[in-house]
Amino acid sequence: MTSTTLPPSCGCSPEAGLSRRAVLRALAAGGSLGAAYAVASEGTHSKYAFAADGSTGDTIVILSLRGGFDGISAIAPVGDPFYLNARPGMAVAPGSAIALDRTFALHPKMAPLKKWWDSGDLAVVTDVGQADPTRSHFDAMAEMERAAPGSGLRTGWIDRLAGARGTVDALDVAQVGSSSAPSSFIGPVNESVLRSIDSFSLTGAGTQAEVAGWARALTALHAGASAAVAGSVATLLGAVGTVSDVRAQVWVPHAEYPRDGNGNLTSLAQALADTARLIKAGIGLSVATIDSGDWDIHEGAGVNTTWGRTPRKLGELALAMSAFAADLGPHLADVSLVTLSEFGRRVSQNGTDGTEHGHGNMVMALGGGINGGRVHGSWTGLAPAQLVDGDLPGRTDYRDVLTNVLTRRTSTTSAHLSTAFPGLSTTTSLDIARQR
Amino acid sequence: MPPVTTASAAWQLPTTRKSAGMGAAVATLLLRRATWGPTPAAVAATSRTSVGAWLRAQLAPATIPDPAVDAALAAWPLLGRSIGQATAAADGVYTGEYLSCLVESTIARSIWSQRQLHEQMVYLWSNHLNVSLYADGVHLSRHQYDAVVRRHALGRFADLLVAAITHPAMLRYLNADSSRAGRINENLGRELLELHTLGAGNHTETDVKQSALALTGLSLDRTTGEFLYRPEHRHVGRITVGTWSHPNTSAADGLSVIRSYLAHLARHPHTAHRVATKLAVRFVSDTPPASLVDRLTEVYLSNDTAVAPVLTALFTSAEFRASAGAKVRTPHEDLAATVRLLGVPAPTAATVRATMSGCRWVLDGMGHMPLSWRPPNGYPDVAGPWISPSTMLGRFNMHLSVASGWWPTFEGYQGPRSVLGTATFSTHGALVDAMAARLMVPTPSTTLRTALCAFFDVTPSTPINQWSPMATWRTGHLVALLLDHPSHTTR
Repeated sequence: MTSTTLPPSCGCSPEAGLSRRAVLRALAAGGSLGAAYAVASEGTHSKYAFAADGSTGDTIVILSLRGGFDGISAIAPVGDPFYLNARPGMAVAPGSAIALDRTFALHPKMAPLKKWWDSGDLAVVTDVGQADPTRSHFDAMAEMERAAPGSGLRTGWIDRLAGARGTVDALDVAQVGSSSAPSSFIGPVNESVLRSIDSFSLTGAGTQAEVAGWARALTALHAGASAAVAGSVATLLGAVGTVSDVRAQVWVPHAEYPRDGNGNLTSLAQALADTARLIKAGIGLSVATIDSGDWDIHEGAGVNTTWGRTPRKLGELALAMSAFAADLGPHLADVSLVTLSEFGRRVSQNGTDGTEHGHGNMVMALGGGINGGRVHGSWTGLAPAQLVDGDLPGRTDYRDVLTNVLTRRTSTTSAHLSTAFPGLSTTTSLDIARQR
Repeated sequence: MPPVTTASAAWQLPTTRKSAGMGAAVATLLLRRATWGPTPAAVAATSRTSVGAWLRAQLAPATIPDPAVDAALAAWPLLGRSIGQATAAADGVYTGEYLSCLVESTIARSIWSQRQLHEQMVYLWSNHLNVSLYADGVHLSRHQYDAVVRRHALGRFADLLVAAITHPAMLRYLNADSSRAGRINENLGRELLELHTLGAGNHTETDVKQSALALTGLSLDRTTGEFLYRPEHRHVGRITVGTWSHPNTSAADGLSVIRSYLAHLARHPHTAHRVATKLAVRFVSDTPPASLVDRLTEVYLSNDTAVAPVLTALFTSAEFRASAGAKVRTPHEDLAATVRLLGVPAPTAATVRATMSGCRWVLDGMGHMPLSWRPPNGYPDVAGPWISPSTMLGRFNMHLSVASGWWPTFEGYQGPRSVLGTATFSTHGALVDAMAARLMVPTPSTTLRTALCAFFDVTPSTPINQWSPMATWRTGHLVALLLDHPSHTTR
């Protein structure tokens, strides 16, 4: 098809093509400037496999709990006798916990998520870890986001996936809520990074004509820039119009997100609310990544208190995730959120009301296509003999969790996955998500 | 063009033989890396001296007068309080004020201090030995930790390491103050090995546990907030970390054992390599040549961890000279370089807080508020994290807002039309070229000059008259666009 009208010197990346995704996005956004930066003929670059109904599958949301999420304080194995042995001072009190099954119970601050468990939208996967564990935050994060253990690849898994799927539009893949990209974006594809929808606009460009003027000038200025900088600017100019269209739509969140002491949405809540807004605007977001930091709780956990760091963090997380699901409403059917963390915590508590760096962890999956209300994985308990150097082992590779969700909820093929997760050969019987 | 006043005094170095002048190209590179941003005037002055002479002056910051910063610092009197004074103060000061003062003064120093290399090294060490100002319980000690970093920034790493690791802010941030024999917290013991000294892959999990034991006893006085060694918290008995081992037989002697442990770590070849790499990444390249890093490692070890000889070796190396354009400016560097280029003088103490508070939020919007990185590894120092679409947008918006004089407003900035002084130009193309030169942007190509003029709906040959927007109410747009040039994004 031929594109809509556009000046030839648009601010687009030279290889940007007008994919079907961009057409859908342009239609959703009222056919205005958003699509205007992607100019090409259909079919030239669009490698994305579309389902018969024109949809491309769920939006996948990767929520990174950075610092080392203490999974067994969030989804506590209160039915395991070794749990109390390992954490005599900080096991979740069974009386206040919210039972999920005979073994597991939610921390009381996780109560807002219980309704999504009951509705079958929230699942838990136990003992999730990495092939090559390390207790270094930074190495563990880098390895998790590289997702290519044993290889010399330096790119990130989301970049490889986007490249394999032929994603070319600026807002197909985006980090939302922070200023810089996760290392899963390292590589040749130019993903977007939106600190917030409200701040994502060019100062001094109030009209579409002014935005186009800045785009032309900025493109000319970056003609000789490094590929990385020029690519980023092209992505910015491709996304800024679309985000402007989203911002112009009347927006009322259909849920009460958690707020900080000043009455502002917490940064996690803001990121999830913006993600929900992008999803509901129908602009074709296929992967969103969100960071939640400060999970490295070595002391002052206060698991059974109201003031401790663990209940405060879990409370915010549960409220934000629950609000996200409620805000999405019927769109939750087309969204799959997965929580990841670089490692879990040591099973035994340390000497300062906290825990040390460990390995295996709990993963949460939330979405309309998730086989929720179930504990997935291969839990074998906390008996010392089941642990590795005091840690939960990673019996389920986090890449298998992602593979299960991606293959069942999106049009990601096995060829795409072998690029995203090279060398991943394990075949698991995971059943976290339903076939779309 | 009027002289650019900012920082000009700093570059009045001892006169050397004319043949010793480093020339404009080297001066530009040196000032782009070793300072928070050059100006044409600074390049002109520096090019007449030698790299060695320039470094000798900058490596002795106490000998460099810094009157503008000294005057501005009067706006932040809280920074002069000791931890004990801050803790004991009953004057109703909001405790977050100490952190606000620290962030604001840090930005001001980067822009206006004459001790520019010192400010660069304070940035480097503040990240290498990061204590996030968001950490619980550091709000009355973080500014004194900064004073420690400043004191040792150009001294010996061995001294800096001891001062930092035993400081109340670091002990609180990484929980060592609550770790004690029988009730161990591994946090500082681990990051000391992985981040501050040896580096990942150079120690074992057993070393981490032993390292945590080695640090027991470091604590705080709960009343004053000051450092306190507590022998009753000390683990007694042999400790072995890698090649270091100590019988550690007496709790009373624990502090000397800790000093011995840190002295060993500071002088370890792995630490030397790690520090050398950090310096090379900061000042040369995201992927510095191994030849350079190895040489800097040697210099570090043969000078007993002294930083100045390493910096001298670095800035006089062939690898440095060959590295033009290899580094991307962080948002903080972009802001500082922008303000310095515009020739904005240091504000008086009366307005500097409001202006720096504005700058703080500008940087926060780009994820780079000083001292605010939460994990212990410090802000990244390579390009990737600083060139995301969101950050590029933040740079563009910051250039326009600052250059136009909208926000933050700088006392003494006369606006974009003052940047070229009283010079007049007959055509738009001539104005574009002159502004590019003034902002240290390479002379625009014909294509670019035409594109920039097209932004103003003119061509390069269009005559300028008294109503031309580019020369009147839209000059801020021209300044901003040129600051958006990728040469300003790099250093």
